[in-house]
Amino acid sequence: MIAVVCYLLILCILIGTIYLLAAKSIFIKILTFGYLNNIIIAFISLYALFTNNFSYLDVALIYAILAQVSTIIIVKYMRGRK
Amino acid sequence: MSELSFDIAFTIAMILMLLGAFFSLSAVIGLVRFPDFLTKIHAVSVSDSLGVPLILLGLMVLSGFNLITLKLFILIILIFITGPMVVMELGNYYVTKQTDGADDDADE
Repeated sequence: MIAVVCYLLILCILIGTIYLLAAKSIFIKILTFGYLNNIIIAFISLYALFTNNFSYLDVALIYAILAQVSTIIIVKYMRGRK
Repeated sequence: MSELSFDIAFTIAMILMLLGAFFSLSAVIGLVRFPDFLTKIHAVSVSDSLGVPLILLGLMVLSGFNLITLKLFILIILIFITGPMVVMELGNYYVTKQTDGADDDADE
């Protein structure tokens, strides 16, 4: 069961990465980037719990803060730029 | 935790995580298949508000009641707040740009 969840998440990351590289629009690129951030956070948390390596949970927490804030800042910057 | 209660918690956690993974997969399929940007936003926001939080909720159930649960809870709250915020900002920006009539290539 755990393996199934891992496979599904890896599939999501794979499809998302291919789409991130293939997309032409900057809107869709940012959207896919935000989606990938969330999935990677989930994957790191899953890894932390199933390997009993809980320091990775802190990594996931810091990654989540930095990734989400940076995405918001990028969008705000693009809105402000004319 | 006794053997039986651990089995029940493990089953609940697995169901939650499978549901979360399913919603995440459906989000990426929607992202690829839906025709224009606003419908793509609709697909991705499912993952932000339901997919990843369900996976983390499953991990919370599995880990029991300790400091790890608290960290996972903070992670859920963070994703639950900031994920839709990113999508909303992006949608606002897209609509503003469309209203201004600027040339963009959002619809592939």
